[in-house]
Amino acid sequence: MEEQALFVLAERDVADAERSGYSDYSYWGSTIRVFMKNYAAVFCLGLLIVLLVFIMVQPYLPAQRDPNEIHLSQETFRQLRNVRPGAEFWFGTNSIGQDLWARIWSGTRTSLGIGIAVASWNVLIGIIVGTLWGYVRKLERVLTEVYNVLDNIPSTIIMTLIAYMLRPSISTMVIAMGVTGWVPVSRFIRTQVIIIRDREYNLASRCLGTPTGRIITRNILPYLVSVIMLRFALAIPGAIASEVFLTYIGLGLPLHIPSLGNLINEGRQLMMIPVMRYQLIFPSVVVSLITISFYVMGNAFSDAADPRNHV
Amino acid sequence: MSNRPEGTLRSYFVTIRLNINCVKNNSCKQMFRGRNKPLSAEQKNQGRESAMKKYISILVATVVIVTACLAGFSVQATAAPIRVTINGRPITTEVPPVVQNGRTLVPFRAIFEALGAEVDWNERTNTVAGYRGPSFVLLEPGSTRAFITGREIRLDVGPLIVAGRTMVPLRFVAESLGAQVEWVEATRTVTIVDAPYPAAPTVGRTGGEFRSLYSGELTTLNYLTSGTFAVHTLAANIIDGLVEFDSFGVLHPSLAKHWTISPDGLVYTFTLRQGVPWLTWDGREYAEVVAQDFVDSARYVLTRANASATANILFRFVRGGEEFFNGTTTDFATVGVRALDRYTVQYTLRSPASFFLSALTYVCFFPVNGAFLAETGARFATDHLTILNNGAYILRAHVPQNRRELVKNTRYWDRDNVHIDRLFFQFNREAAALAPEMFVRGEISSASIPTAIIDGWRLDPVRRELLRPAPVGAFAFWHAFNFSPRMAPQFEPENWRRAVMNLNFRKAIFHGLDRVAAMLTFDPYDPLRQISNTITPVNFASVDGIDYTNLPALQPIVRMQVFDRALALTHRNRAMTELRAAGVTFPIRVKMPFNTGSPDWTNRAQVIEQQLESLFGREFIDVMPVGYPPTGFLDATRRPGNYAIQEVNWGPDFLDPEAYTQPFEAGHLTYSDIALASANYQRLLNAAKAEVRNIRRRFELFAEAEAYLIQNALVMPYRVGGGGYVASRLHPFQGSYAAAGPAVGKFKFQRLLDRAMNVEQFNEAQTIWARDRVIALRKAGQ
Amino acid sequence: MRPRRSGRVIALSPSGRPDSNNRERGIYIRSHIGALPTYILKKSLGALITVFFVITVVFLLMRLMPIEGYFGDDFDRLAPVQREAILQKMGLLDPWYIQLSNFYQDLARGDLGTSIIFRPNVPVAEIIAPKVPYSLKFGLAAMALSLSLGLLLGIFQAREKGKWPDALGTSYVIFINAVPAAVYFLFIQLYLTQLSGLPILYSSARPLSWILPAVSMSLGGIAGYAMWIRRFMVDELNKDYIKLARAKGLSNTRVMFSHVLRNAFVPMVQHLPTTLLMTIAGSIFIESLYSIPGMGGLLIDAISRQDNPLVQALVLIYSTIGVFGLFIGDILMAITDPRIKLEKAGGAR
Repeated sequence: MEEQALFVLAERDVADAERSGYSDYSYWGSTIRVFMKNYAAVFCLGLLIVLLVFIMVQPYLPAQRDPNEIHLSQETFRQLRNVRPGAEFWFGTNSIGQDLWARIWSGTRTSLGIGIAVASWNVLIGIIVGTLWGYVRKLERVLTEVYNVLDNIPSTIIMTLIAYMLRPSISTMVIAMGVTGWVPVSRFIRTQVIIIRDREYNLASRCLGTPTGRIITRNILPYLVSVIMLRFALAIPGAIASEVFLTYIGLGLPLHIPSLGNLINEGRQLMMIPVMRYQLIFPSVVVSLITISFYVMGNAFSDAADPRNHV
Repeated sequence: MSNRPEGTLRSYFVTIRLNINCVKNNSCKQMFRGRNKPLSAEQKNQGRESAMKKYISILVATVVIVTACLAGFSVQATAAPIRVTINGRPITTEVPPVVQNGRTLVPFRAIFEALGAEVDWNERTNTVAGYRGPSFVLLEPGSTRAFITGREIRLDVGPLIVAGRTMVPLRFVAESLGAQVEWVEATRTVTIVDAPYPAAPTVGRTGGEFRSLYSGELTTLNYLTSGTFAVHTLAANIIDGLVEFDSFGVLHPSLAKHWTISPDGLVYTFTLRQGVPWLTWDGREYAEVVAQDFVDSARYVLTRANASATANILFRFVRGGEEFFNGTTTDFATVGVRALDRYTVQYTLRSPASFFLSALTYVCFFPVNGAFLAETGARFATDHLTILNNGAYILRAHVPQNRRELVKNTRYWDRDNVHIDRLFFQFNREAAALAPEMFVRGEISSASIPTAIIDGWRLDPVRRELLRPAPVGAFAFWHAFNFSPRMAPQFEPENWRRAVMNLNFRKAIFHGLDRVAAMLTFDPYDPLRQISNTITPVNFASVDGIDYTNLPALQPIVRMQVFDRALALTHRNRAMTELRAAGVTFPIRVKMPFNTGSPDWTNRAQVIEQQLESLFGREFIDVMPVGYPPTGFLDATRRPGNYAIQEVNWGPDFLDPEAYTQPFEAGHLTYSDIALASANYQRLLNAAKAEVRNIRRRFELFAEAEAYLIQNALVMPYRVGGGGYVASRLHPFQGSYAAAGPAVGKFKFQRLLDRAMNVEQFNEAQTIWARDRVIALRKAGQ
Repeated sequence: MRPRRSGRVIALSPSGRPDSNNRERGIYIRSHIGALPTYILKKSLGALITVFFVITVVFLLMRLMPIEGYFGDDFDRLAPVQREAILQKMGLLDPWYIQLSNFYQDLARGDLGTSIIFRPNVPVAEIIAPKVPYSLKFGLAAMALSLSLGLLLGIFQAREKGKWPDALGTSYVIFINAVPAAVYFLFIQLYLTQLSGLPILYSSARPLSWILPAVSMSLGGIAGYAMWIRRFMVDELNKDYIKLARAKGLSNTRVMFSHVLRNAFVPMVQHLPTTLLMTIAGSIFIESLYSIPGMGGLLIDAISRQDNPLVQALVLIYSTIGVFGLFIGDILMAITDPRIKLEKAGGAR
């Protein structure tokens, strides 16, 4: 038999190839579809969006007050202290006559702002350092040692030092939390990178001489998008919790910059005073709502981003 | 009485002879002319009827002659006997009173006991002493030298020995102990009116346990090196000094039974109480408290290597102390602290200081046992095992970050005045949040109530009754103007400097600052209670029974209405014109730093900013509160001059107006340099400091200097420290009181109330205390 | 602040799994368990170097703190000579490199130093030693509670996945994570004592007073473990080997315990030594609220008071635990999981 008889060149039919290769599967589409099926998560997402929009526009709404303005009684010219929630002050006033409604939303702005800034910074630096650490073997040793040292330096020392060198402000808080906050993120990213860096397709890429930068940005990072997004979503409530904790140990924001941390800390001592407890309850509820929303949403997103759940 | 030493006989003869000479020479003439000699410089001249003079003169002549003839063995009054009554009650004496040189003399034991004074006859030093409350009288038979509570005076008639009894001048003794003496000719009676020394309130029960929470732990118990107030108050409970304060702030003898002060006011000689034991934590006796303990303590404090934070208080007073501390000399014998014998300790001062006795209640003058110090070395006073107790309580346990336990010292020399058996302090970082609730549940005996929850307590019918104010303290808070601003350019330091040099500008702020509004952030119910128009607080120091702030120079300031809108605006307008001419740009930026670690202060900064700007308008000033963290706060703000106006404070270390002047001294750059704005103040201050002899004058000069400071708006007095609210089963006016030093933290004299006081009860008790205090101070002559 | 790692009883990745590094570590650990001695030696050396770097960095950071901090409130009252005397006594007048070399020399002799501010003249070891047992006792009790209750809850939830017990458990987990600990700890302390009559403060003589702090301390851990084990089991139950085991006819319980839990235990083992050792760091919230004289907050106090020797000693202890704890964890993991091999130059540590 002639060889030609055995092997016939197949005709290359582009249309046919597309037909057989076609799949209406889209990663992001599926992710979103799965995510949307989780009603709790969708509700939380909605809640967060509403909250974000609200705190942005709140100062421009009618009848809003300055969070730091001290309200005086018209008759006595004395501060309207601890006025209970009512028509005049929706969330009441605090111990020097400042409007709690304004303070809580201003505090939410501050805390969410800190949270988003810290989370973005930590995730960004974490990704850069983490991928280099995980992929570039020459850097591994050095970065591992740097990581070990940084991870073991109590963050309080750094925070105290920063608080000493810079005056307490939102940016100080962001810097204080950002100085070492990226360290665990970078380790997490590094681990993820290590998992996939030696997979066959990456080995193949390397063999074919693809530059490292291209492998990282094209082969590795896209794979990590879902975990990174998740990490980011959870870093926000994490930063808010850190802020509460820092305030507790005396390194938080001063009272003239309202934040959820200092509002809660102020409210704590009122726990056993029924008539004034509202000053603790309102900020606590806001923190809880934000945290719950991010957790539920983050986990739902993580589930949705897992291709195994796309079937 | 029968234990009169043999040597007395001879000295007695000497006395008589001297007296005869006296009669022969000028003093008799004076007496026959009817002139009355003053008892002493301290005591007021008391007029007497001339008839009595005449009689006494004759009597004296007779007595002297008879005395001379009988050589003192059987002196008897020739005229009708003199009667002595105390508060209407006659006193009987084995030997009837005699009269000499116009002075009535009575047996010392009889008069002292009748006045309720403790009597002490010291053979060794040949002294007769009577102690009562804060005062004591020391007489030396055979000498005309006598001491009233340590101050030396000369008597015209000294103690005599008659029929084997030591007779002492009646008027002198009674008046020295605070009684009033009157001669009633008709009945030939010496009437002594002895109003009792006001008693501290005795409410509350004896025994029991005091419990409380504390959130700041002591770093050490070393009272000789620590500068921390809490360490000082703990020390004051377990260690006694030479003298102590009672509940009115009057000094009483403590470890010193009595003392003498040299006429030049430089040498203080203390005679110690004998048999006071040093006890270890478990109550075992380690040694006796002796004079050397005070020397060892001074040496320890002044040893540079020990880095004592209170050494400066010691070397401020004691001669040679600073030189020894600096190492200029290494010979401790040059330092003015010496043990003359086992029970006599002597301090020599570098310059006279009338308030030296009050300084002795300060920890750096507390004794320490030298042997124990050597035994414990660097570990001295690091826990309860390494400290000795001689005071009202024994420190049974000190477990850092855990608890502190004190038990009553059953071998204490004054144990009858220690009423609470046990003190238990539990460490809790969250005390501010937990203590109020634990007090309500009856688990602790005292809790301070933070400003934030006062409203809640006032609205609650149960808690309301448990809440009372805490007495104010002696720390002075004021707003300082910075005359040498070193701020970042955005705060326009040069513009500020020019503005603050202008009197009208300062006065505008001075009268425009509503201190009550600011105070509401701390005490919303009685904000006026702590507001002070002067730097030196009321009730701090007094002279001749007049409070320092009530002296003529300060009186108008105390009564002044400081916050005055109209006046402030008038000054503002004047300042505006003057400053415009001087090229100052408006609005003037006013950098006002505050400590972000203090919620009250943060709130206050916002209150002040809004209040000043709304009063003056933002075209005049732009108040810029800037928050700095507690770490390194003062190093970032006041000390380098990085502020325009800042709330600052200072507390006194001793009971003299000078204690409040240090921050205003020229060159004291870490506060604001007042001298840059006015050299006058320093002149006034120097004059006041130079006056060390005449206490009244000294006080007046200090008052003038302070008045100058305030009238020229160089500072803005704000408030006194302390205050706030507490729920407590302690009586606020029962324990020791002093405006400086650790006395206020002592549990001696205190009892546990069955129920906490409320605001009304507090106010009532305070009124009574203030009234009694005036009497007590006057009676004690302090 | 306690070292970050011990913030929760077990470090959880956002997905609720223990840090996934643990599992992947196995991929990289290639050598044989037979090389253990060399491995231990090498790792120990590396760990020592890490600790050395950490304390050096911390030493230098502390020297950047403001001088004022060493005087507390006394500063303005002190004469300049006094200030100098105080700094001299604390050994702070020497140049930093002299101080550093003194510190190394003392350390080499096994001397952690003497406290300068927190409790002047008291050896640091003597400050720390009495506190450790308290933190350890409560930490271990809380861990035992967290592990047992957390795992039980998680397993229960996994079994009842999607039903109301699962929802209840999840809401507990969410609640604990959402409400700030500073708030619910205080709430429990004040209200539960009011309701139950339990003592507010800890007292070594009253065992009843031990209950609330131990329980409060374990709440976060329970939530953490429950969340993690639930997730782990739900994931694992879909895996082929479980399907095989089921197919073989093993009972559900058997599958759970002999397969799933065993596998779940492996990643936990790595963190367990550190977590156990780190309990000595105590919990600042609980110890502060209940007056437990433990280690919680000691580091923060030491830092804010600038007690350099104490800070250095604490950092030395914590970093040693951190570094060596994980290293022990690696070994334990290699022992428990035969698939994991130790490697010469290992993972992160």
